[in-house]
Amino acid sequence: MWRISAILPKSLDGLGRLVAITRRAKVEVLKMTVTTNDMRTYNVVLEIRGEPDEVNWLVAKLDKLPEILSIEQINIGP
Amino acid sequence: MALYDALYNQDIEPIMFRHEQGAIHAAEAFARVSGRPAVVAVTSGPGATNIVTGLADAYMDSVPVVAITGQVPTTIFGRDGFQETDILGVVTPITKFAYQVKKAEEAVAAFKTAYEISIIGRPGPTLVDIPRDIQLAAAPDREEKIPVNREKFIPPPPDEDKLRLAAKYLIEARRPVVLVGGGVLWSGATPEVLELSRMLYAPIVSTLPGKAAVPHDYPLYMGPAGMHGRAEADAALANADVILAVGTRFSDRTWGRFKELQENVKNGKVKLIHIDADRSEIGKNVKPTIGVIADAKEALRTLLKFVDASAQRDGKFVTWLLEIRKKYEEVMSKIADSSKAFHPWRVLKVLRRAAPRNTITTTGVGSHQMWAEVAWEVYEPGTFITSAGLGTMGFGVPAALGAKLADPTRPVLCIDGDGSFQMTMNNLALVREYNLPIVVAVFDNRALQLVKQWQIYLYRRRIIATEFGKMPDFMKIAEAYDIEGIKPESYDQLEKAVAKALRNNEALIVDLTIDSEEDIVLPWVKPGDWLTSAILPEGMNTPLTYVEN
Repeated sequence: MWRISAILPKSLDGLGRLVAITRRAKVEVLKMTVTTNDMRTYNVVLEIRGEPDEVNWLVAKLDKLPEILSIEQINIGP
Repeated sequence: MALYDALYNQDIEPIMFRHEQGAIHAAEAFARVSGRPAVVAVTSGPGATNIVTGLADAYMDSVPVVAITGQVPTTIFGRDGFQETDILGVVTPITKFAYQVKKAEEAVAAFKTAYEISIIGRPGPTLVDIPRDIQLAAAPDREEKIPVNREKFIPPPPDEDKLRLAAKYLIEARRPVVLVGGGVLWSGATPEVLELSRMLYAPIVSTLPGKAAVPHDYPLYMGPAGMHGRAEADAALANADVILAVGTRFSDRTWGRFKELQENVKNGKVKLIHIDADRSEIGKNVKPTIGVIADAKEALRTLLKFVDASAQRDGKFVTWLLEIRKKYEEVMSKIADSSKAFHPWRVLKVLRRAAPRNTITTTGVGSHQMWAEVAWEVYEPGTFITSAGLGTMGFGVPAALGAKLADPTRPVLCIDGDGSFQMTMNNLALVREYNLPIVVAVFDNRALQLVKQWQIYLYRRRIIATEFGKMPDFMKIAEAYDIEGIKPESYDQLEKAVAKALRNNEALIVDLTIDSEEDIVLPWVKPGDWLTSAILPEGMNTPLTYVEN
């Protein structure tokens, strides 16, 4: 299981682009939360299951979006 | 309309293509020739959706294009207003950046951001969608910043430790091969590639976009590899023990399939060094032995510092590859001799003789394009423009116009097929209107020939929906657009007509009658096959597996 945490500007357009990429990844999205703390950004947290290579693919593709201001990937165990 | 009204009496000349798809393909070619993004401005709804194919094409081939789309006023969003389309939703997966301006203060910043992002790092298309009420709003005094992370597109400096190890592998290799992708062209790394190849005595093989990056008269260039690559290029890649892949995304069209390569890299038989500016490409399809995220030119310059010897080389390998090339040329020459109609392979040889070295060539998509991949010789980097990744029919004519717009001093030749030509020939109207004299050579086989070839080989000759019935008269099409047309009857007549038009900067449409039954593009690596399984032309029985003596 992996957790991907991404910060992006508070815009549904950017969020839509994030989802568009995620739906093409060969991973299972178990949970997705979108929160905002400062009213200017969204914090998107994805909990996913998949092969490490596929998770890396997803993170690399998400990180190509200019709207993704930062992204982190953590292994949260089986 | 408000946007265009603002351009009235300004120092900007709009070029009016006859269809938005033509405009965006022209913009792609303009960018490839000039090295800077071109801008396409279209109306909302159908205007916007008509550029979608071009955006996808630019995305696949990493071309910087900025699209500006009109949009209905923000007040009626979602109410299905006239010509309302959620263009941002449509282009989301095929743009590097897309932004809908919702406040007048964002408009200038959004455009600047889109322009900058299109060209920074690995290029790509961007889009700015501007609703009508924003277009009509008064220009604000201040610019609102668009929050994006640009820095991520700037490739990091090359990792010297990795490149030192890469150099060691390359020096120790028996059969090193350099695989050149389109990233080499954008990076301007052709001189470094050639120098490295010379120092290592390593053959160069390219992808289809990478074909434009290597002068074909460089003796160690084997041509493009892959589905319709050259046999010697397929053989080089399949038999290499160290592959240096630069600026390439490991397309299935270049490799046929990845299984052999993946296994050979995994068990250490092949060492794969992959250099790319885009981090997401490293390991996407094949996990390399060494992956280097860097600009191609910078990385190769660093690599050159560490390459100072080539003691382990198997010279017979290159000799073997050159023998394959010689054999292929001999066989094709015989096949062309026996053809009663124009043979595509020979047509390209003749056109090449007729065209000055600096001629910019564009292609449509189909069998003529694959013949061009195999047989067209590029002498100057950046002079071969084709739709590689998306394979967009209709690309050729508008791309030729875009290339001519970018550099009116150079001859422009469009190698097209009758299927491709009919998709965007309406843009020929621009030839006279904007003085864009291009030469279009139409390979007229009255079929969607490449698909027909698949039907012959893969579907037991069950030919359906690939042969045209009634065809328009291309000479009359030429006449309608006030362009000279010729239907040559000999190679000599073809060469003279094209040479004259290109030399004198005159427009010309050439209709070349080609026998569909003879128009089978070989070599051909069937989809899902490995490179050594390439089907070769009749009379060529050379195995593509190298045996070291």
